[in-house]
Amino acid sequence: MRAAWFVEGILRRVTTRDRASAIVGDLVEMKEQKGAVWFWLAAAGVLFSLVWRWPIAFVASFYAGAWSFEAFLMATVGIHAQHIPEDYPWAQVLWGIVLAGSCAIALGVFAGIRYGLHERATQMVSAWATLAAAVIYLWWVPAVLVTCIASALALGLYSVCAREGRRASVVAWPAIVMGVCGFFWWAAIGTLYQNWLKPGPWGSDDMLQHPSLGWLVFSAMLLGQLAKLWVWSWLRGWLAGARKAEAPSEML
Amino acid sequence: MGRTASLGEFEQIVLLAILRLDKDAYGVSIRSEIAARTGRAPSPGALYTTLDRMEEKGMVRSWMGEATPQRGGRAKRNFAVTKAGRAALVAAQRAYQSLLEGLNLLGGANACSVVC
Repeated sequence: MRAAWFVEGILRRVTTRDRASAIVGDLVEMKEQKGAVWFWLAAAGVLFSLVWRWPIAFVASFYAGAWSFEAFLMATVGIHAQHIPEDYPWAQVLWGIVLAGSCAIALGVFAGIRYGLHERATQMVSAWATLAAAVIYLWWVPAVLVTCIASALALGLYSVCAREGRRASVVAWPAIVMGVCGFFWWAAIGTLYQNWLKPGPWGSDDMLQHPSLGWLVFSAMLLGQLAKLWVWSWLRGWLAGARKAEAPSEML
Repeated sequence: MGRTASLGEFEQIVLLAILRLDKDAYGVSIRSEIAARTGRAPSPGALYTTLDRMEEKGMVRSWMGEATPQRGGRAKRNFAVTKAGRAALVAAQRAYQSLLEGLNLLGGANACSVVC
């Protein structure tokens, strides 16, 4: 039946091969009683229910990452920053926290929408994002800095010693690292292309004359975002599979 | 054993349907059982996402069963309730029982005042 193969082919792109096959098998079985129109409506409903969270999570995460990166950057080295670190090595540390923090916020938004706030990995990445934001905005207040360092140590200890913490870290940290690499990726691509178009500093007129630069950087940012979210989703799926294999006797 | 997970109304209905069906619980039979018992047939999309979510939470377990010609040669995905799922269901039902105690909604004076 051509319709069933077509629906199965689409569903395989959003869920596992076995699940897609079983869902289509169920729909084919019910089609006998309900008819072809019901089959197509049900197939569309299943597809929508499986995918609707992903695009919303992707867009919200992209926006949250871009917004927090700009806000963190302005708070740290922008012209309105209340305190700019003079000591060069500490400025580098803050830069790192800005990059990792905005990645953590983007990932927290994605995982919160896509998988729910109850997941330990979502909670962990949100905790790291909160600590990063606190350091970025109030690093010069000793009490805040000490509290953040103590909290980071406690969170690090939990990530190493507790089983759930280790599982959450296996998902969260590679995704954060991929996100940081994504920043360097789009910055490098954009800089190379800009220098190729016109070496030297650019003004707003140059940007208007070469809109392709904006599109290239935007596309590279989207690719970086995709890579970051793919790492999170893949590791989460891999861990869920390992957990399932660990407990086959947890039956009623 | 950690804290018992909370369940939504539809999750409880799905778990109870799986328990009632025992070894014959798969998408079509679960949907039919729910429709027969509650008078409302859930949409396939809602049913599959709920089953996937509960499997991720460790409340149900699934495995691929036999393929039949009526299904175009495709295998069934069978479901069973895990210990964690049963514990969550028992906790939810106990809470309901506790709240229902003394109300006598299914008969007596309260039944008339609520239903009529």
